[in-house]
Amino acid sequence: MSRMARLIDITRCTACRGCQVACKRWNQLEGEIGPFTGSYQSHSDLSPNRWTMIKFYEEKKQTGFEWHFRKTTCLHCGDAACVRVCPNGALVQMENGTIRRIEENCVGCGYCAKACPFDIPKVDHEAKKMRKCTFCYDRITNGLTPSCAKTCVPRAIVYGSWDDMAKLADERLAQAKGRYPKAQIYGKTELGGLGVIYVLPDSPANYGLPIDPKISFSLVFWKEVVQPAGKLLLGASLAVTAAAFIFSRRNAFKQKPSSKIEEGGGQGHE
Amino acid sequence: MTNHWTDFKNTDVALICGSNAAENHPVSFAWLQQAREKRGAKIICVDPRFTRTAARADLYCPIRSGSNIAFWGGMFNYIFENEQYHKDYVLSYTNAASVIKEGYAFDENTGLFDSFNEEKRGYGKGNWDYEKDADGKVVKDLTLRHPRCVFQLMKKHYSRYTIDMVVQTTGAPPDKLVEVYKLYSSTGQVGKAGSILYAMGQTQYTSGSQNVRCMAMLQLLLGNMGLPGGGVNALRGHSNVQGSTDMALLFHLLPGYMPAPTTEWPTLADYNATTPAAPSYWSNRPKFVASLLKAWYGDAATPQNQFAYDFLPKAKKGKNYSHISMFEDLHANTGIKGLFVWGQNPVVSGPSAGLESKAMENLDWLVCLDPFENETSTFWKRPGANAKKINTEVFLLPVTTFLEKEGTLTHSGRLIQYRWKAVDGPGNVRQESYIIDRLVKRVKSLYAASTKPQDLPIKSMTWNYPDPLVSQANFIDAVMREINGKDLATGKQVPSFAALKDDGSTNCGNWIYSGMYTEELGNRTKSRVLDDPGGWGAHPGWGFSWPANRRIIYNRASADPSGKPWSKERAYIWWDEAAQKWTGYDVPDFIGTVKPTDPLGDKPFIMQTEREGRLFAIKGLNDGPFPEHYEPVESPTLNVLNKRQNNPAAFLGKEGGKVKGDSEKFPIICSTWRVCEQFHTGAYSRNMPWLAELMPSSFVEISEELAAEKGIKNGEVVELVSARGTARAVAMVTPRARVFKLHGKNVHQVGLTWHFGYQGLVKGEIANHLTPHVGDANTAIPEYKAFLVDIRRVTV
Repeated sequence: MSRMARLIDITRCTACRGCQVACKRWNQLEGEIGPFTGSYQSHSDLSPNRWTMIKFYEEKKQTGFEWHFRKTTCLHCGDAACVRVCPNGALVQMENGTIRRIEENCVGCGYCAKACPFDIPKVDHEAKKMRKCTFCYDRITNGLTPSCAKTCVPRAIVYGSWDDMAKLADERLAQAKGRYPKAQIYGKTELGGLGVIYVLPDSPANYGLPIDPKISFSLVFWKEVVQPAGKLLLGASLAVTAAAFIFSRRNAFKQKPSSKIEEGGGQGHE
Repeated sequence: MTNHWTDFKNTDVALICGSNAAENHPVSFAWLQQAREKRGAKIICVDPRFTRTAARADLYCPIRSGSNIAFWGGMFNYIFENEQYHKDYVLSYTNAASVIKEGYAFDENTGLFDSFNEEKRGYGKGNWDYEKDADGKVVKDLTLRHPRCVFQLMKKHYSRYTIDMVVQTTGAPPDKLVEVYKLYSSTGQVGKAGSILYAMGQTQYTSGSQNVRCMAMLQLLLGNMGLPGGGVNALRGHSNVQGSTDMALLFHLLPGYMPAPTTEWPTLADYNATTPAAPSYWSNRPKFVASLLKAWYGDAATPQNQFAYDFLPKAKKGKNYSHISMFEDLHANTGIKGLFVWGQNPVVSGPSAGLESKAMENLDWLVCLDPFENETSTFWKRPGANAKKINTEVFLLPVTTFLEKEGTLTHSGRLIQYRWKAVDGPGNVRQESYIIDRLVKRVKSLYAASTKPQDLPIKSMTWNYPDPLVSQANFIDAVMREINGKDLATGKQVPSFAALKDDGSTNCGNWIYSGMYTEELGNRTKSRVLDDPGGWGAHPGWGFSWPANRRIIYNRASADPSGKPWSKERAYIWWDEAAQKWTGYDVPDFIGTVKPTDPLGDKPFIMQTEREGRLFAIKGLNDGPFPEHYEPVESPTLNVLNKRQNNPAAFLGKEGGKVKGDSEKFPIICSTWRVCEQFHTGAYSRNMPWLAELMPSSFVEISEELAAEKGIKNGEVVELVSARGTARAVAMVTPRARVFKLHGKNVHQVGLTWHFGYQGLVKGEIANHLTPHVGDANTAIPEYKAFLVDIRRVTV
């Protein structure tokens, strides 16, 4: 299976939030009735039981008032910080681009949450497990569309191969430019290409996205430098350390097999 | 809808006014955005507040609640002044050229049309008719210059609706208003089509019917009726509201939009005497009524006994049986002893909910059918009620949800589709059709031995369906066959309503659905053929669209009088000279072999006697032949367009007129509305954790200016007060709500969701405690959308 992606076209989203419900339904996540926040947005952020949500942005611009809705979810980065920092091999990158969590390996340490430039992983401290969007791995490896894309009425969320979604993003951008001259694409080049490609009406900063997301070296330093170095002999030369760094980086991208994986999906289709 | 959901993809300009389509009809936006993507269509949103629809529109223009007719009237004036109307269409297909009787008049100083009776609050209507020549033919002036021709009368009537006047009355920003007029009236060009999408933001006013009239008139002026991408499109508020009105779950109708009998028409002959004259297609009505009575009373309905017309209950002449009246009667304790409530939750949804829930205390018994224990079945323990003093016996029959039953739904596009059960309901829940079957059988058995003549209607009513307990599918099948109708001599299903007879030889449960179930084509509501000849999205093999499987009604008007499509771009229905018949991508809404050159061959509006679209409503609506702006019953401003403040014929009921808030005490305009995440009274959705999570509270949207004035912070609890009651809600302070400048005065508008009540997982105070018990002059639909309140902080 080649790398897959979701296109999320904010200029088409009507914030019906069908995706939020479809995600909870497919993954059988509990409803979390909170207090009213004074906004259409139900909660301030994702939670271990809420893997996607629409965030609402009211924008007073010189050209007029605008109201936009961004679906927040794991972006399944090409170069995923969470995978790089996870000390237990609980996060792996699959061939289809899914950043997959291995239930039995996860101890809920929260390194991934700290490292994620998009603040996506949420730790269930009681269960000592991190939870996040699975890219409906069980669905997509069985020929189905992710549940959010499946339910999206205005076709703001589209699922397909990464290359097709990148192309579709160009088409959508051309259409969106008429109404939003500052419209832009986000996710094609960021962090090795994201598994979610956004069409945004304006700068990513307006919608809570870092303009140039980076992986903090200090966070990956332990796993990618110190740990491999420790496994070699103490006092080894700097050159060996550098080599280890390169190896470990490569390894981080390779799929790690696991006997038991979350949400019961098979690997047969890989 | 004259058109249908998929047809939105064919539009050039969509005008969404009085609807929050993106939120409450999300599917509409799948097609509208396709129109934008593939045709470069523009989407206009006109709404008091900046909604999620406004967010996705190309052009947004705010107008305050209750100023729709000023907005539409201004558009008429703009179209006349700039000659943007589709001249050939207007001349050939509307009554623009017809001359109206001399006595017709409108006086802006009184705000009244001619022949008004103040006491009866009604019009004589006698002059609202065509002038006829010695042969009884309508006098016409094809030059459109006669001062009494409809075109000139209309032009004159709306000449007062200048941009400035409309801006002062609606509070719209002038530049945006003109932009809307300009963009939408561009669809008057040949080859272009504009679609109007509306919902309760047009209907729920004392002038609601006239608001809808405006849209029909506008589409006639621009030549947008009968075309793909055009039409007047009501987005119904529930998945099967279309079906329920088709089947006449309304006090004034029989199935298929025939009037309900009244004491004025004691015999079938009297009833039939009210049939519209030929060549209106309605002149076939006696066939539909006779066939309906044959379906209901079987062999007991004979030509000799007027097909048992006597068995039908007759409404008392002049008595209004609408929701408002029924609850006022109940409140006055004038005789209603018991109430069945099916698929409704009036304690939350009814206007002046305080009055209505109090009224229910007078009931001896109440039967509620609902999947959940909602506010109506628990009205006796509502906040503030003294349960000890309420003697009503309440029965709650748990019923299946839409996923747990089988049957049909008819959506706004008049498309009836069969739906199969997805899962069984829990426990002992039943499908409503089972309950009604057992209820009817029980009632019939109680009367079986009676010899009293007044019990004959119950004894004679046919009820020969298979037992739904054995097979729900077979029960529904039999009902659907009866609705389609059959030839009683051959026993064969009728192919369409054209085969129905007035001599008792056919039966038919609802003429408009005739043709949906025949031996040859089977149950067409189950058909799922995706073919789309022409690519217009008509999909004639998918389900069945009444009437006669037409996807767009009046589609003869998509061709010019000679039978050629108005433009190549929009070829939909045309006259095929070689085959000598009408053809195209839909079922022609015309007699198939009547040539364009034949008499009436160039008249597409077949339901009218003159076969023309009525810019001037002959014999009018109750409140005039042309829509005229009046203020809602409660308004913070004076009517400046004429000197009459409120709709002179508005339905005030007995109680409604008594509790009127004045603008000194209640200076803020308030409206009620829905959100995507909750459904209707919330009886379903507030019990659904995933939905309750999304919208956990009732809230009121208020502008930053009003919040500053009142010292209200976002997220604080506030209390709204009207002349009827109070409702608390959480304040949502947002630039999406606004201040309107009306005749030089700043007026605030707020609005709140009405989905909440005291039952369910998430609760909130009932918004309808605020709303008035007054209604539209023609339908008595309550004025939920514009009334006055004040707002104050609550110190908890």
